Amino acid sequence: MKAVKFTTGKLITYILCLICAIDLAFPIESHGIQHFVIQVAASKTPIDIQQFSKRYKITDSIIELKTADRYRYVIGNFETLRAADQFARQFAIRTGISGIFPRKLDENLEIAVSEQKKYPDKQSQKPLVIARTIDSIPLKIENTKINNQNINNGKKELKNQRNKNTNFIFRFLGTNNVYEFKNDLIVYGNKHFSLYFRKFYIRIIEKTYSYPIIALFILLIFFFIFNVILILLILYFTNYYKNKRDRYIRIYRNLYEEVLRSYLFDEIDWKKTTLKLKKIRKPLNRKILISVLFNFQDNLRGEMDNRIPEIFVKLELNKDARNKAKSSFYYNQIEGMRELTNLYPQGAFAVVKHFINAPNDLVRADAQTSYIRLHPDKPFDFFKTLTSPFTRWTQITAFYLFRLHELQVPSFVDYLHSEQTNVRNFCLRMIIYFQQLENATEIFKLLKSPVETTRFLCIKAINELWLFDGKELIKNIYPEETEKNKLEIIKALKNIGNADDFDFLESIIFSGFVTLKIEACRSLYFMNDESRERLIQLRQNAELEIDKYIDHITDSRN
Amino acid sequence: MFVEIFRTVFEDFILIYAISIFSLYLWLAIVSAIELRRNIYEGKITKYDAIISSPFAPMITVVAPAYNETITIIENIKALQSLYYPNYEIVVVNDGSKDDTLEKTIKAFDLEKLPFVIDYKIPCKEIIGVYKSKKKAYNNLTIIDKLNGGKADALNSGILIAKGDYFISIDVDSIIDPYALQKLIKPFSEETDRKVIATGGVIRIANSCKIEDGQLIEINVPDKFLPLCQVIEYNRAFLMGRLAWSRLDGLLLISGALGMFDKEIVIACGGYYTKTVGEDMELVVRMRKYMVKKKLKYKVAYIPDPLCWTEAPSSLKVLGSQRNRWTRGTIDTLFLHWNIFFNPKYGFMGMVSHPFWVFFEWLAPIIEILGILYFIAIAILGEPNWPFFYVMLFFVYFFSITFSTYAILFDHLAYHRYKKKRMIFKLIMTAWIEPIFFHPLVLYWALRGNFDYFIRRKKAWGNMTRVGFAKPNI
Repeated sequence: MKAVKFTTGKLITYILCLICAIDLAFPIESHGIQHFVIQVAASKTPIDIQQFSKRYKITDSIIELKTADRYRYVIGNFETLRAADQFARQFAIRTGISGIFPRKLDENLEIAVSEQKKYPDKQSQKPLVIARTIDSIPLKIENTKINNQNINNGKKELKNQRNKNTNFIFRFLGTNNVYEFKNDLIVYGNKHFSLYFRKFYIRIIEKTYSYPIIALFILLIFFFIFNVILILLILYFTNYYKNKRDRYIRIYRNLYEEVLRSYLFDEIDWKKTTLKLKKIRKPLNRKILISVLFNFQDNLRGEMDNRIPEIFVKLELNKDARNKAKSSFYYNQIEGMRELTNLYPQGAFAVVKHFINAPNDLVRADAQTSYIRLHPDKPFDFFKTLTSPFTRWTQITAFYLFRLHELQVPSFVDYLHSEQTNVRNFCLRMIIYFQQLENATEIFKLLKSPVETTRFLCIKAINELWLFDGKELIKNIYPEETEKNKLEIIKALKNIGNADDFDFLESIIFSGFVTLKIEACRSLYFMNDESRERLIQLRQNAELEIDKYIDHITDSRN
Repeated sequence: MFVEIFRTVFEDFILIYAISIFSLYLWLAIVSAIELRRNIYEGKITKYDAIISSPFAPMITVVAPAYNETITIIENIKALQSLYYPNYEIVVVNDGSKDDTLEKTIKAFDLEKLPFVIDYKIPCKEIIGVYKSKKKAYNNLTIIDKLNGGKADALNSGILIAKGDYFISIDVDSIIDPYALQKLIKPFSEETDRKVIATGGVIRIANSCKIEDGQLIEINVPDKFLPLCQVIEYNRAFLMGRLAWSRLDGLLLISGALGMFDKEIVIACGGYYTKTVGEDMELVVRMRKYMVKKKLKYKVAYIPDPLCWTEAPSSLKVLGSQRNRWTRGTIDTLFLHWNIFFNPKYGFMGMVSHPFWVFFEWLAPIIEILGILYFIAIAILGEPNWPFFYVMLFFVYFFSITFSTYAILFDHLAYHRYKKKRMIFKLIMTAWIEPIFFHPLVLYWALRGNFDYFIRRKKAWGNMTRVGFAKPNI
C-alpha cells in the first residue's frame, strides 16, 4: 500500500473530521434552558390565584404567565420531563384537578397534551379552559409570586430564556395563523367525522402540533431505512426472478420451436400440436410463442409465408395483437401493430391506417414503416394523407425495409408536392438514389423552397443526375445561398459546368473564402482539360497560392 | 441583539436551503425515473439495423484529442475503428505531445503527411501537419499534429478538419461502446419540431474492467475505494440528475468524455472556448444562448445508455486535481454567462437550470462548510440542540444512502451491467461509506477549487496521470 503524503489540506481536513468525531462522541453539555413546569390552569382573562389555590388546596406557588392568547398558571420547576410528569400525576391525585400537564419552557419542544377539559369558574361563570397548545410560544412573566428557592431558580431561568420564538414555521406563518389553522382542522373534524374516527383524527392533530418537528425527521429517517431495505430486497429478488424467468423462457422457447417446426414441416397435425403446446394461455408463454413465430418468419421463406400467419390465427394470437393495438399505452400499440403487420397482415391494415398520423412519434413512425410493408405496390401512398412529420430516422428505416423486401420503386415525383417538408426531402433523396431523371422539371421548381435542406437536395440532384438544364438556375441562386448550398453548387459545376462557368468559378477563387475556394479549384481542375489549364494559369498570381490548393485537391484522400 | 438576529437568519437560511436542495434532488430523481422508464421501453422497440446499413446515415466525425498518450494510443485508435456505424471518420489530434505519440501512430498505421489547406473558421493553435494512411483499410483515419493548446484548442482543430455534419468529442483513452454512434445520432434524426444541437451519453468507470484491444470484455466494479465511490457518484449524476434535466430541457452539461454536436452550430458559435477548463459545459451553454439569440427552437438531448467507459482517478492527488478543475470550470461557465441568471429570455435554462447550478452546485460546498463551522462554533459555546442535531445528521445520512441506493437500483433495472451479486453488494456498501469518507474529500476539493479560482486565479488544467487499462488475464 502506498504511503499517503500528508499535505496541509489533507491535514486540516482530517483534523476537522477528528474534531467532529470527538464532538459527537463527547458532546458538551448544553447550557440551554431545559426546565419543566406543570400547567394547572389557563384562561383568556386573569384569574384570582389565591382563590384558585384555596379551592384546590394548592400549597405550591403558582406563577402566572402571559402568552399571546392566554394567561397560564404553572407550578414547579423540574429538570426532566419524567420528573415533571410524575409530579403532575401526584398533584392531580392530591388536588383532584384533571387535565394538568407538564410543559417545557425551552423553545421548539412539543409535549403531549391532555384532553381538553372545561372547568367552570363558579365565581366568574366563565369557563376556565385548560388549553392545549404547542409549547413553543414566547412566555413572559407577569406575576412574580415566588416563595421558595426552586421557584426563584425557575424564574431566573424563565427570565434568561430566549425571548423570541425561533421556530421557523411559527415565525414564517405567524402564531395566530398556525393556531387558527389547527382550530379549523378540529372544527372540521367535529362537524364531518363520526365520533369513532373523530377521536383518532383529533389525536393526530394534537400529536402533530405537540411533538417537535424532530419527530417528523425521525419518521423520514425510518422511511429512508425502509426504502433502503426495500431496494435491497428488490435487487436481490430481481436477479433471482430474472434468472428464473430467463430459464423459463429458454425451456418453453425450445419446446415451442420444436413443436411448431414439426407442424410446419408436416411431421405432426394441428391436433397433436395443440396438445404438445403447453400453457399457451399464459401471457408470458404467448409472448414466447410470438417471438418463435417472428424467428420462423425471418428464417423460413416460401410456403411458410402463409403457414406462419395461419398458426398465428389458430392460436388466437391475432386477438391479443389487436387488443394490444387498442391499448392506450404506446408501447403496447407498437407491439400489437408489429405483430399484426408481420404475422397477420390482413388484420393490420385498419390498425396501421389509424396510426399513420398518431401524435406519439414512435407509434407514428412504426405505423409508417408498417404501411410500407403492407402495401408493396404503393408503399409510399400514405404520403398523400400524411399530416405529421416523416422523420429522418423513419426515412432511413423506410428505405431499409423498402430495399430489404425488394419493393417496387415508385415514381417519387408524385409526392414531391407534399405539404410535409420531410416528405419532399425524402423524395428528393430517393430521386437521387434511384436516378429518376425524368423528374427534372419538378426538381427545379423546388429550388425556390424556403427550406435550406430542400434547396440543398435539389442542387445535389442537379449535380448527381447531371441535369444540365439546372445549371443556370443554381448559378442564379448562388449569391443568396448559405455556405453549405454554395459548396454544393460549386461541386455541381464540376459535372455540368463548361467554359461559360470558368469566370464564375474564378470569381469564387478570388473571393478569398477558403472552403469555397477549395471546391472551386476542385471543380475547375476536374471539369475538363481546358478548365484545368485555366486553373494552372492562375498560379501566376502568387497571392492565390494555387499550388497549395492543387496539391490538396489532387490527393484523393482529401 | 445583532447576534440573535444573525443566528436566527442564518439558521433559517440553512434550514430553507437544506429543504430546497433535498426537495429538488427528490424532484429530479422522480423525473429521472419517469424518463428512464420511457427510455427503457423505447430501447426495447427501437431497431438499429436500418442505420447500420444505410447509405443515408449522416456522416459523423470522431474527434479525439491526444496528449502524451503513447501507452494506449494504438489500442484506442484500433478500438475506434471498430465502431458499428457505416459513415464516420476518426480525427485524432496530437496536441503537441512531448512523447512519441505521433511517431508511434505514424508507424502503426502507415501514415504520411498530406498537403492540406485549412480554413481557420474557428481559432486554434497552428496545425503543423495532417496525416492520412497509405492503406485503404485506414481510409477514415486522420491525424492532426499541432502545437500544444489544450483540450479545447485540440477539439477546435479537429472540428476544422471534420467532414461530418456532426462530430463527437471523446477522450482518446476512453472506451466507446461500439453502438454509441448509432444511439447518439438517433435524437438528431428524430426531431422535426426542434433542431437537436447536442447529445450526451452516460459515462461509466472502467477501472478493474477487462479490456482487450480497446474492447470491453468483462465489466467489474473497481477494486479501489476512490473509483468505487465515483461509480456511485456517476450513477447518481447521470441516472438521477442529467436524465431529468434533459427531459426538462435544462441540461447545461454534456461530458467532455462523450458528446455529439452539430458541427455547423458549433462553428457558428465560435467553437470551444480555450480559456476555460470547463470547455464542455461552456460550449453547451453558449450553443443554447446562440439558438435563443437566433430565435430557433432547439433541444439538447441525452441518451441514458452507458456509451463510454473511462478510467477514473484512483489516487487522491489526481482525483483532487480533477475535482478542483471541475469546480473552476463550473464557476467559469456560470460567470461567463451570468446574463442568463434568472433571465426569462432564456426560458427554462435562465429561470431554473442556471440558478440551480449557481445555488446548488457552485454554492453548495460553501454553504455546507459554513453550516459545519457554525455548528462547531455553537457546540463550543454550549448552545446546540443535540437531539435535533443528531436527528438531522441521521436524516441527511440516510437520505444520501437512499438516493445512492436508488441510483444503483435504476442502473441495475435498466442496464444490468453489474451482473454478479457481490458487485451489487460492494456498491451498496460503498454507498453507506461514501458520505462519511468520500464526501468530505469532495467538499474539500470543491472549496479548494473556489479558493484557486477566486484567490489564486488558477486557470490551468493540472496533471492527469493515466495508468491505462488493466491488461486481460491470459
